[in-house]
Amino acid sequence: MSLLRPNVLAAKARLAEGLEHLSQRHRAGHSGVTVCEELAALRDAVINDLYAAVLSDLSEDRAAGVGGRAALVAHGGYGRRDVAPQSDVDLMILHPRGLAGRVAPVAERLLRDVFDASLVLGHSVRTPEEAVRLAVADPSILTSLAESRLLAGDADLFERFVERLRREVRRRARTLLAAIERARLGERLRYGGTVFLLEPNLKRSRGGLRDLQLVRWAGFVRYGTTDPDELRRGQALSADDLEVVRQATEFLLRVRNELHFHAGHASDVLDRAEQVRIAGGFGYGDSPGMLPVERFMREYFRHTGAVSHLAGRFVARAKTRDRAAKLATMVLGHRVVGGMRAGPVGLMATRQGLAALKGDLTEIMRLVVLANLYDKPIAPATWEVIRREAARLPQGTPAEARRRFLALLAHPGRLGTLLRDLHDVGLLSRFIPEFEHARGLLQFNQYHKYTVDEHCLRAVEFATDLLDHQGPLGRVYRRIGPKRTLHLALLIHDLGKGRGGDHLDIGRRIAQEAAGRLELPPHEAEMLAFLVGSHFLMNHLAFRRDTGDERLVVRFAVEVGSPELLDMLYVLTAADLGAVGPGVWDTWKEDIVTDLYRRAARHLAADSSAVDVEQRLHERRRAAGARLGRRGKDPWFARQIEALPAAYLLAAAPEQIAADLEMLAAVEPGGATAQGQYSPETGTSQYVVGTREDVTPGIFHKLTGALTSRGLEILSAEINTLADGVVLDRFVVNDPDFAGEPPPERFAEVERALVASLGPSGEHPPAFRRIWGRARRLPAADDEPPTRIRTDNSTSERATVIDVFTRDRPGLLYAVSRALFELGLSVSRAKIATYADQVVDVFYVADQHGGKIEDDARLETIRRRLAEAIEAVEEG
Amino acid sequence: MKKIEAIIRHFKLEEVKDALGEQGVAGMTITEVRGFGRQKGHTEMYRGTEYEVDFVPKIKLEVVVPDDTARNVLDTIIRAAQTGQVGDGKVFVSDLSEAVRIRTGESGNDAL
Repeated sequence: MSLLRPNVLAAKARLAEGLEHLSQRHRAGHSGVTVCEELAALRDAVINDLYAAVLSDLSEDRAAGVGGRAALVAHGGYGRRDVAPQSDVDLMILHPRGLAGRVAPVAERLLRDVFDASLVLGHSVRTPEEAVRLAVADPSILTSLAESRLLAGDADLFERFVERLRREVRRRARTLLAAIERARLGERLRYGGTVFLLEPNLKRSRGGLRDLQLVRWAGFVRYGTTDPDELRRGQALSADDLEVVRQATEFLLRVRNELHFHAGHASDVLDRAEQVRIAGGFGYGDSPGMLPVERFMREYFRHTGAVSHLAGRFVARAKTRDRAAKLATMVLGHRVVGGMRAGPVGLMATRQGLAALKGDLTEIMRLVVLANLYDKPIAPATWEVIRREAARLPQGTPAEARRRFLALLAHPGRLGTLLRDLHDVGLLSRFIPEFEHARGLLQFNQYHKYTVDEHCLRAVEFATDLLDHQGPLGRVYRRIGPKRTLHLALLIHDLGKGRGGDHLDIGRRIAQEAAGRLELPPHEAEMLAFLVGSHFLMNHLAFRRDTGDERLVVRFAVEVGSPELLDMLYVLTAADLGAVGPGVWDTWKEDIVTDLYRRAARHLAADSSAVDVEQRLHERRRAAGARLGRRGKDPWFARQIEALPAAYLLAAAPEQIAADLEMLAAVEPGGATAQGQYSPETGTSQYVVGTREDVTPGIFHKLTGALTSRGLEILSAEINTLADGVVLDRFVVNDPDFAGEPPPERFAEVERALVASLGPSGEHPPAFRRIWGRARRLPAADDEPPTRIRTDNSTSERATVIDVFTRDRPGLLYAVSRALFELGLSVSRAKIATYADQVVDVFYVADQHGGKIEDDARLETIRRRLAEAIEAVEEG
Repeated sequence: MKKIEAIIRHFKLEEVKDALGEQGVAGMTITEVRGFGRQKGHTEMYRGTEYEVDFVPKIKLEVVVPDDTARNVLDTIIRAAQTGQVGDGKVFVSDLSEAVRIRTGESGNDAL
């Protein structure tokens, strides 16, 4: 037996019945807006009945005059009539001063009855003055009361209240707009600052229902009405904007109805399970490369993206209609360059500037590039013009606009934001058409938190944020020369998704097409295609493979091919992970990826500035100086010690360094000296050669010739040019003629040959001995990487770095060194290393004038000639 | 019930996970951790420069299994996580007094 009064029980039943009826209409495909309005009407009827019953039940004197002189007001979402099945009800009893005593018992009864009828209730009892005072003091009250609607009672009182609210709010428009916007921003931050959350909150996430409401509220504060149709009539909303509002409202309300009907409670979170369910229920079908849920969510992101922008623009305009703000811009702003002005709200176009932007993508890109260089936002009013223009631009992308797009990519500034802006107005796809397909494209797995386009944009932002990052990632990012290649690779890296097939392969193709469209030089195009097509490589190896395995690291280094590309791949890998979602990139992962980076870097260049070792080097130098005793103070020795390269300083013991320097000091101009030594631990011999740069051209290739012709296998070599043209070379060799330590005569013979090779007799090509009866190399593995030669101008300030990867074979190093010599290149440093049968050689070379080789055609020739020389040394 | 905690090389996670899956182990918890045992930190030479690694990144994997399968699970982890080099990690096994599935309140082996 129920203790509830019959009319409350009836109300409860009526609500339940009505809800069931509406649930069927919803399932039958009725519009979201209609279902919400009918729900509102149902509640209106129920609440009005309850209110009437309360008034008639209470004795004449207790509630005298309340019915006629007070007003029952719906506000908030209920006032707006977008009532979802489980929405709560906001009610206010508005009364004239002096009636408070009699309103109180009415309110008390009504609230209990409404609550007992199973509605969730927010309530208040106020005079119009109180309500207005509270509203202007608190944005959350203001926004709720802005949606006030009279349910019953004194219409005049209600009108007086609304008029007063309108007036008071308009007087304080600027402060209130700022407060409303701030409150909304805070909420957005808590519920996801991007439209592209994969489990969004329909109401609170960016571009959600709240942003539609934001337009209504800003409309109320500025123009005195919340109704989009009236805002349209007053020219505050464009016809397009009104359409966006209508469609998004319909879509979001229908989805929210579905969530509420299904859950049976007020749930606004569109989680993965619900996405799948709703996509099926709403009849989204499969399409190539896309699941129904991905299509559904793309629709969601399309609406919320549009709403988010519209709301931002609408509020910005409502705010900047102030003459004061306009005046401030005029006074503070200074002309940047033709037609642009830097003002307090960002870069804005002057009247002439705006005229120039119309219909001209090249001009628009000029503004965007400037905003990036000055690191200033583009003023909302100016951007709004661009947004309108974007849809009307003529087809095609002028060459100059493409060049400006590349200029934009070169500079970190506020690149991420600007690319996002371009994407929002659909202009990014003028340069990279595939971005349109990626718009709002969901990656339906547990891992990714953002849609493909958002993920790519975030990856760019992750990288540009590294500008201030302390640590190896920041150091590497800052020193990357051609940043535009990296930024472009980041922007493109996942665009191959959602197209069926392997997204890496498709991505590589997209990168190649983009390179062609943007007219990148061939070298850069190749780098771009590699970075995009292999963007997962480093991640995969670092987290799934044993990077303690040296062969694996060498394979990786070979595949990457140059220190420059390795630097970019390292940043790309971090940015890709970092753009997956908050907290994905942590120091644990950073350590693992950085470890692989360092291991691979060791194979690609002689030393690295990424690791701070200045202190350690300083100590090594001091120790070597101390070993030299008094001579260490000698200016010549001091200069040589200063010039010793890091790799050598750290690898050789101070005694060895002192001995090598003593040896170098004894070298006469035009002379040379060599010293051999056996290392029992490794079973190899080491030869140190000291000479002067001017002794003969092609020192390096003559020394390798001398060693090779003596039958020695060169395992590693190091060429160091120190101060005053002093050359210090070290070779580690295997002497196959002797098992164990070679006799002193052998060392003497090789030392003589080394010195002689630099003298007049060294002009003759060395005679190679054929080595019979030995299996010279391991059988070739099927997946063995082919010979690859890469050049790189960004690693060293003074030299072009050439990396050579190939299979080891006798005479190889000699052939390579001779080719370099014949190309007129001087080798200032070299690092030769052999891992199993894989050779990784690094040469720092300069032309006759001591400069880098910058000419692309010349670099191409060098790579080709080296490849030919290597191919000519076939299987000794 | 036994709780098995394994500290393994990070890149062995997939293999261990798959191997345990084949053994019918349905759930596990993993944590990104750092530590060192006999492997200690090591000094690495990269591009001719040294740097020190104090704590090595590892994965900690936790599974809870009925007593009778514990030995099997333990062996599976060891087999899958082994490279033979120093730094392969360790496995710790302890007795567990209770397990409860939060949703249903089931306890003991039923909760696993």
